[in-house]
Amino acid sequence: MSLISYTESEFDPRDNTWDDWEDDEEPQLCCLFCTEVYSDASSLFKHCKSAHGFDFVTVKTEHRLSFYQCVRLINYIRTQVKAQGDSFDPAGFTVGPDDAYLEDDQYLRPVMENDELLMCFDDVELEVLDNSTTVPGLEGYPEPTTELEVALMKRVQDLQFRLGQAQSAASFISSQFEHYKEQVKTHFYDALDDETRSILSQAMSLSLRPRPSHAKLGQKDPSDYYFQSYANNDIHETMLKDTVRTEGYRDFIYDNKDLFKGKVVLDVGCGTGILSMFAARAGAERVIAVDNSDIIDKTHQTIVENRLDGVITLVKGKIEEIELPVPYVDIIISEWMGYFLLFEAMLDSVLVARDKWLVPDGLLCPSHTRILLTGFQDDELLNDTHNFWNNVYGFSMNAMKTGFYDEPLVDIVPARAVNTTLQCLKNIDISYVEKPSLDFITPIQLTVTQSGTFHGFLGYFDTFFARQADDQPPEDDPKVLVLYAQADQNPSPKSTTLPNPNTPSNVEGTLIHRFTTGPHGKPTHWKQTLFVLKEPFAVEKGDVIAGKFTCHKNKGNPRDLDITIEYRHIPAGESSNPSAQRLRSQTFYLH
Amino acid sequence: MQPENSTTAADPSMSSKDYYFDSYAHFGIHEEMLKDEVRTLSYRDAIMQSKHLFRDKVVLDVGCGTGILSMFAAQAGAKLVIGVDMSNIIDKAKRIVVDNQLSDKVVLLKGKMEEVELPVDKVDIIISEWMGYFLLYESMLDTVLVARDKYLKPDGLIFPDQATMHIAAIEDGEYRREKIDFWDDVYGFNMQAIKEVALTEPLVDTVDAQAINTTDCVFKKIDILTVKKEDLTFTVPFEITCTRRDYVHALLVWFDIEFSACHKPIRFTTGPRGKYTHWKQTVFYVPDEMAVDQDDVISGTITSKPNEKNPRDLDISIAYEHDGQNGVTTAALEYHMC
Repeated sequence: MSLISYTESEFDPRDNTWDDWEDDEEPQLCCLFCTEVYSDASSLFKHCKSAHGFDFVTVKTEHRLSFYQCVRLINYIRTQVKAQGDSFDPAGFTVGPDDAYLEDDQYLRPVMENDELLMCFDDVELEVLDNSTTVPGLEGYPEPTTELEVALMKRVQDLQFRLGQAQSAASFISSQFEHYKEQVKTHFYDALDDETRSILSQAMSLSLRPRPSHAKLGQKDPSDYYFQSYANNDIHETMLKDTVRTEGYRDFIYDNKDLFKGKVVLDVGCGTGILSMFAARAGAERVIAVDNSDIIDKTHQTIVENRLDGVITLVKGKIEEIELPVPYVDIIISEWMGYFLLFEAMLDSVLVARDKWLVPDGLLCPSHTRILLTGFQDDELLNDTHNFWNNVYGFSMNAMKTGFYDEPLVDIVPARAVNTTLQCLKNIDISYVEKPSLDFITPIQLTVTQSGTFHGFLGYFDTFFARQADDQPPEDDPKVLVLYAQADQNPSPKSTTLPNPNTPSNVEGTLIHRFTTGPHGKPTHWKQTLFVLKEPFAVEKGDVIAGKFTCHKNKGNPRDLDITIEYRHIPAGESSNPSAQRLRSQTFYLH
Repeated sequence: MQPENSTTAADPSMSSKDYYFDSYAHFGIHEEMLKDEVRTLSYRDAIMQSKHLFRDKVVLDVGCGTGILSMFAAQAGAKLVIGVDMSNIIDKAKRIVVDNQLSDKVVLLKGKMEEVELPVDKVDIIISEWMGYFLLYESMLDTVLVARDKYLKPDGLIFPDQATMHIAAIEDGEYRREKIDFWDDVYGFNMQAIKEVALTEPLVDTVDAQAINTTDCVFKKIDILTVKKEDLTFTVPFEITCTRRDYVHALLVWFDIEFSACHKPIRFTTGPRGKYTHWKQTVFYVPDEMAVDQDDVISGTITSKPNEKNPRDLDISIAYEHDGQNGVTTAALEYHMC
């Protein structure tokens, strides 16, 4: 498996908010033949030409080498240099267009760990092209005659070249991904015994088959407890006082009153009715607020007291069973998120409501959610929980540790606890998502950003409010948390300039409201979800934690989650053979 | 705080219920109790400083939980310690006792106090940590009384044996705004319906000692050696005197515990003047704040009785009269602790 350094490629150093980061991360490009290091490809190739007599740029242009072929060429040269050492003669090395290694995929695999040259050797092309004075005509067009035509054709050529480059880069990455998928399958899935595999595939298809109803089995419906637990005040007070949550909804609704004006809005799981009242104040013509908890009796009084009973209609019951007083709704608002986003599975009810009542181009608030994963180290937390039992007033109470590793901890950790890159585990586009896909298996690959101990995985979620279903929230930079971790570790005036992660994102001129439950944001009542490993291990910066993350609803109680994390620790020097590392697995029950 | 009583949650199904009651999170409450050093160290001191009382004695630990008190008693020289608990925690406690090489002295029994069969007819000492919020909420005192009447020798000892309940008034404007008046303006909306409920629910929280603006009054003394179950339903008078010109936003209740059998009595308080305990204090907000002057007297009665529908819950009524410069004001307030 070639661990292509995706973290580098997705990181955009031009983004000026990260300028202090850029300083640390100047690329380190190693010469093809000696140990010299350069920070840009152009200088490196100039060095190769003057010091070693090998002109990469000319070879590439002469033979019209593709992106792939260049990668193979670089890796082939590195292989030869590695094998022959000083006896390799760069000046005597020539490249023929039919050389076999140019088509041999074994040379797609980086020979050198984190060979950043592979990511930027083609930066040079544009410079070369810009400097060229001859302008061959465009195929199918007459020779340019005027200066303008020359300029335009040069521009067209330039764009064609960039397009070709982008296409080959895309196909390279996509072939790498296919390869990676294949590797994951070979190393992880096929390596499982039949029983585990059947459990896995059962889990994947679980939601495709109807689940036995508890009521029919003569058991108490587990959801009774669920709804009842929302009848008392404390939980609502906690939720209302979670300002990240409540103000996140409020700001979106009040900043986008044009969307709500004159619309019919459905509030799924309305609780105290706060979101319904926001929508009513924002100008909604009618709001239907649904909840199955006893809180709704108090909510009724609240609505009347605030003279919004003309706009808001309360309906008590389960979304799956009730009738609405309207045939359709324009907007669905709901605060359905649970711990680790999917615990309590209230999203299922939102999807039922969406499919039953939302108009085709209707709006969901929130519109998108994303489950994110990173690694963490938090000695204090571990000492305070697990290690506490080692010595309790002079007694050993190891028996109390039983089960500690079977459940994720829901707790708040500081930003500095994050010690790897960040990865999106599950992107949920609420306008389109289907219930079965809420059980998911996602490959994971995290790169260690801080040497120390890897205590486990940290999960959290981000919530987005787009004005239209098709507005997509921006991707996260895998290294975004590193800055917050550094700022938390060494507070300095600089750290105050880090952006508030709850600031709306500007995507092509449209604001997408958002809030995060991550350790870099203001704490929320969702806290973070910590998957503490039985076997923590020492890690060095650059190591990779790779494997897969499986999350599905518990069969007995679908509001609970069964989570399995399979992972390998691949030390930085050994990425060429990740399967040599032991595959470990741990299962968690979130209940 | 008693874990047995957190079993009121509806069962999802037998299997996941079983899972839940054996799960790590479910035992989190024991972690909280053990980490309450005022509680645990007071018991340890009381027991370890009474080796002369524990040597070669038979001890019963009612609601033994993780077994920590049983192990203290064994360390103090007890011949035999019998720990009883009906919760699954006792399975862990059994392993803990073995791990600490005390299984020859500590015997743990799972079951209800009323039903288990002890290997002895009588015991010399009962130890128990039975106290709940407001001392009596979800407390295990009833069970301790059952054990006392059935097993304790006539001259036997109980650790602890004295409990006193205190009341005082507090200035608490800021927190009251945050907890009660919050419902007047929730992001621009009025939520009176919830405020009314909030006012009937005593709040378990810590209060700063500076907030107390009256004398404090012991309104209930419980001698565990002699108290009867019916004494735990009571209406008693109280009278407190204001110590400064101030506002009164709430009445505050806490309790003190004493091990009077010790050579030098050991006590601890759960009041605002002591160190933090997991019992915190219990705050009863009054609907309208009272403007009080130094030496004003607030007097009345406090009633505590189990709720008829759910005996685990407490119905608490406080009636009071404030005789101040602006005349006499009275109020009768009903609270429900659930």
